[in-house]
Amino acid sequence: MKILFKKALIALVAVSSLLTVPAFAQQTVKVGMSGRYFPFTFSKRDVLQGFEVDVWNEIAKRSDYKVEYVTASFSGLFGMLEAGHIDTIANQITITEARTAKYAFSVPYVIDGVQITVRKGRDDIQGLEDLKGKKVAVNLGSNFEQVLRKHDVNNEINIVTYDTGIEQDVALGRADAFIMDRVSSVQLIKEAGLPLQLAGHPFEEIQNAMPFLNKPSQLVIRDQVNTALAAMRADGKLAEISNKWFDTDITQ
Amino acid sequence: MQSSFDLQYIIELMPILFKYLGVTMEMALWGFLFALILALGLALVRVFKIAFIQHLASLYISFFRGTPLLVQLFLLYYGFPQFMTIFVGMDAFTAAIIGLSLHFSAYMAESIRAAILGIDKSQMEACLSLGMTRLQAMKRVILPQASRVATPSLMNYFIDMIKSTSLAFTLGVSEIMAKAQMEAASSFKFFESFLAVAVIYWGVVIFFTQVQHLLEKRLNKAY
Amino acid sequence: MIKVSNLSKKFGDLAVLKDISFEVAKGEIVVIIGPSGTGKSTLLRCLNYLETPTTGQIHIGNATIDAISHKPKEVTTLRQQSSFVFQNYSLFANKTALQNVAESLITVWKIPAQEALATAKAILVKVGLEDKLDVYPSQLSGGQQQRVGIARAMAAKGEVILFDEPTSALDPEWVDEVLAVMKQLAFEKQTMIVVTHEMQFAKEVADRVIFMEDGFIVEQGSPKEVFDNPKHERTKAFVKRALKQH
Repeated sequence: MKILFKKALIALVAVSSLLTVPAFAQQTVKVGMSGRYFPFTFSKRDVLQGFEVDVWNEIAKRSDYKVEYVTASFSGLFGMLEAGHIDTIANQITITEARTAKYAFSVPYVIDGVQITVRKGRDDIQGLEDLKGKKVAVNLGSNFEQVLRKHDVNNEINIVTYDTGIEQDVALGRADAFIMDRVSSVQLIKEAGLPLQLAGHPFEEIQNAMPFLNKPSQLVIRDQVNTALAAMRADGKLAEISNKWFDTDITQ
Repeated sequence: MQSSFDLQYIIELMPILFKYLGVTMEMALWGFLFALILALGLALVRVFKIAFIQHLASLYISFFRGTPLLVQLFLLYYGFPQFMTIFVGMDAFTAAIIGLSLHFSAYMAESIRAAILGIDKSQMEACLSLGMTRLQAMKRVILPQASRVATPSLMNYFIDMIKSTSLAFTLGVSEIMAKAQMEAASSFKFFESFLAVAVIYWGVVIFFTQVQHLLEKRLNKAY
Repeated sequence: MIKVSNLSKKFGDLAVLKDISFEVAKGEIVVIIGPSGTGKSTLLRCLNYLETPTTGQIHIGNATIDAISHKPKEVTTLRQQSSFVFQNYSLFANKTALQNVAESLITVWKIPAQEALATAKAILVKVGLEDKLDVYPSQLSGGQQQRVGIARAMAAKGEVILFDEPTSALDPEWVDEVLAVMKQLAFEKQTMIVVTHEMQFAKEVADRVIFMEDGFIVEQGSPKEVFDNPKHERTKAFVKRALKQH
């Protein structure tokens, strides 16, 4: 009896210490996002939400992290990453050669395409070719500007960068088209109530992932994120989050 | 196609913006306090023409008046932390306050200096003749009189500072401008959102303009 | 107890004071007269170090200063040995009459406020302003302001009071009340150096009269000597002109 009691006591202590230890070991990860990229990251009635938020909440749960979301205008996010104010960016960051040279990306979690969107009725624009001589809006700091210039060898397109409001200017007729990823463009047209339509098919595939600084402490977090994402793919959680926001699986 | 003006949306948005008005005002008030202290020091250094330091002060004023506030905020929050790790721990809110203080102190220093120089030389002479030091003279006689002259100008800078806090959203501070932008981005009601935040700024400024009038009345009553 | 040696003052190339030397004993009343612009005010201001002399030594009470080699602290010490009454009163605009008079006691001599204000009140009563204690200079007449100015100088614990044309800016109706206060001070043997055009005052009150012209002391002596029996031609000419006006 006594030996059993002793064993039970040891087991109780062991279990309770296991329960308390995680609380001390929980690491805070700061995730930067713009809060202005519907439906990936946005704020409604002062509640930050969206695809990215759901993905990260899931990653945090599986990795025993505490997430702190930091919102700033998109053009400032990379600066914050460099300065160490945030650990990573969850804002549909496209993997590009230039960025890969500087940062360590997680595995891609969204596969998307570069899409042209125009004002409703502008059937004169059906694809890249039709953008020649037109004014095209892109988000400041996004890679869409580079992608567009890559295709515009002879500088025939008037590319204008905006901090915000590219869809507004196109809807108002101040710009002829804007370039954004297809997935958000579809959602935006559905929700915004603005007179917009897609123009043609996406002209380039993009893979989005999360950038980390090339420092040992940051790479540890990156590897953990990869593990979590892999698990989420395997058990269908990632696809589930995608369907919730897009009615389709954008993760592959 | 023009969508109709959504007043209901503005009414619903107001409480959200009001929740963050405290952040805006905290930045403005702390920023102004530190700016005032800095400005006083800078002004005195230049009025007393203290060797060597007065040139540093002039350089400081030249830089902070000569570069945009946004540039200064970026240097402080994004630039320096890359080289000096002690800056990494500084959060956006603190960085905004420091940036605002440094920037506006340069302008306010000139206002204070002008006010001091405007006080009749005979006041300082009378102080010196009694055996007071220049610093004692400043504290007891010159600055009290100069503050009356400088008040309108300094209050102007305070009001300017309240509005300048809107730049803090680029550092990631959650103040009213940031909130307005974010709500606008999700609701696509840009006109209503920015009209709402404009009304709030306007209301705050009107309030402090009244404070200014009361302050001036009280200062002018004495003598 | 006041000794000035070889004092000179140049403003750029213009020599306003040229080699001034004189002494003043305790309790002596010295009046300086002379044509305008001859350096009388400059001399007085040098004594209180409101102007920096070019060369010379000044000795007042316990403090000595050499114009060429001195420390800043010595200047403050020297200034505390004398107090100044300005032509345009120069009262502290942001302080009441009472506060003006008490200011030096509180700030320079670190006397507790209550005691300082009591002393100040007594002095203001003495100069006849007991009903103007809490009034600001902007609400006082010229004569009243100057009397506060004199009261302020009286409170300042200096060895000597320097008067720089104290009545020149006053309307005639107020000149007498200010001269009355000064006469009272003279009667009490307060050491005074007065620059003035009031010849009658000089005649009645001065122990010694100094006549200055072109930055030099031309002649000095008792009022009787200078006014009735001037030795120099220039003194004679000035005195004749000056007395004719009164």
